[in-house]
Amino acid sequence: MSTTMTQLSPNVILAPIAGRFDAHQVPKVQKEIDSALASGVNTVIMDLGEVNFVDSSALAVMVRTMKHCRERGGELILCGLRQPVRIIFELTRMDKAFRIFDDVNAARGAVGM
Amino acid sequence: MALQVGVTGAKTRSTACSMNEHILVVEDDDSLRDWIEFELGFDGYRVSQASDGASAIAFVDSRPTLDLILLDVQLPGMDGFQICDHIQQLPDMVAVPVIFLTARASLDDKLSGFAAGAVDYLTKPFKMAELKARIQALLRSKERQRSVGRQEEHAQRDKEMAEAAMIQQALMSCALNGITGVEVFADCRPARTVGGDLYDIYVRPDGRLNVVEADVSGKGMAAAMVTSEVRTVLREVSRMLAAPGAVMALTNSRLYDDLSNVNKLVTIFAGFYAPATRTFVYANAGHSVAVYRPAEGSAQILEATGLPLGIFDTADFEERIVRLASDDLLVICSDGFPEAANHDGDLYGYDRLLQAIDALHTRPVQEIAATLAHEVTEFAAGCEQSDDQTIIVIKGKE
Repeated sequence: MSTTMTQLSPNVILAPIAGRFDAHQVPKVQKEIDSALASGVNTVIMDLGEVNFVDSSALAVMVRTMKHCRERGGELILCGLRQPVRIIFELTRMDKAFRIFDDVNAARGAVGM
Repeated sequence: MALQVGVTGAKTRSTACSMNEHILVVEDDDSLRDWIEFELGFDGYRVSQASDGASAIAFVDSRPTLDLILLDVQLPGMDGFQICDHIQQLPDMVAVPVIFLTARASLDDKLSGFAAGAVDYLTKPFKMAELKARIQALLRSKERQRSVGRQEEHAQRDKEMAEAAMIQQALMSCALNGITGVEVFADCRPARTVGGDLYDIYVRPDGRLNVVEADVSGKGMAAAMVTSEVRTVLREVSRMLAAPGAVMALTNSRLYDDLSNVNKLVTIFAGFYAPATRTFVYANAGHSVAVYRPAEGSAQILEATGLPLGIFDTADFEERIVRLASDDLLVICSDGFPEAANHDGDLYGYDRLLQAIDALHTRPVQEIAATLAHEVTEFAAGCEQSDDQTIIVIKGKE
């Protein structure tokens, strides 16, 4: 249920998320990402490797993060989607909205980290 | 002013006040004032002191948060009645109970004290136990009043929410107006009094049945406010456009800015049933989950044909067609069905839902909806319903 964001470079952070990514966890994640964006970050790698469920408020915070990153010339990258989460993404077509990588290393590679 | 104080009664430590209520003691007799402060402080009250009228007035004028005032009547400069009058003029002090402490014990004195706004009167010499008991009684009744106030506030809020729920329900329509060839049933059960789900079923001017189910991310009042805008825009756009994919695309661009501003997404399943051809053409904007169960065959998920609304300002939505002839079944559930969780955190899930629909497909539409709702509730036994649950069941008739 916790996130410990790691700064990979002045404008890239890695945000690992675990457990149920739902309305209980969303405010904390959103706050941490917002403060990172305020300090000059424009690219967020969200590692969902330990997430077993995402609800609509979590999808909404991902979309919000994606929009804010783009406004700053960066992007939101997702990685490590497990099967139940991948199914939700495919059913809602959200897999078409994000750049998604199999794991953290592939995601880091994509932004040269 | 010479006075004799009574013997201290048993110390009431067990009733020590935990909330640190704040008491002002206005008394010109230094030793009596110190003694009261010591005793009340020992019981856990926060005590402030004043030894004459002017400093008492200065203190209350500084707008402290006070719970009770002990006021001597005979004070140098200004008497207790005048101070009490002054306190009654201060809007945030008027509700603070005042106990007069005085050696003057005539009936007239007492009456003038009550006339000045005192709520209690204690004649010197008094017993400390009695003073404490009176203080506690007054503070308790103050707390009771506060809790009555809170209950009234809650009752008012509940009343407003109930009204909002009635309006939200009334705005959900399931009007077939003579459409033949299908049985339709729709139901919406918000997780709270109001919710982020909606359905809207009505006959279009072209004679087709307009079927919409939508889910605004989040729940409760905030999501409910967005649902009324979604319904309004969808209705208006559906009047202008005759294809569900186009309706979805225009609705998305109309809603995009508002949805972005409030960080909401909306999933929508929208389709038109044409009695003439017994077909159902639909577009699915990320809505999970619509299930089609043909008369012969097995239940299958109708996957999204586009993204939820609110992600991109322009988006395309493909259309698909299914047949809705005799005994073909379409069940559109909001994610509150497959995502209902039990105590172990397991979800009801898509597989159980598909199996249940397969098992129920010969039943009447209302029974299918009721049984699915029952099964999901049973599965999540004892767990609070965490998301809105909306269901539309459409079935082709003979």
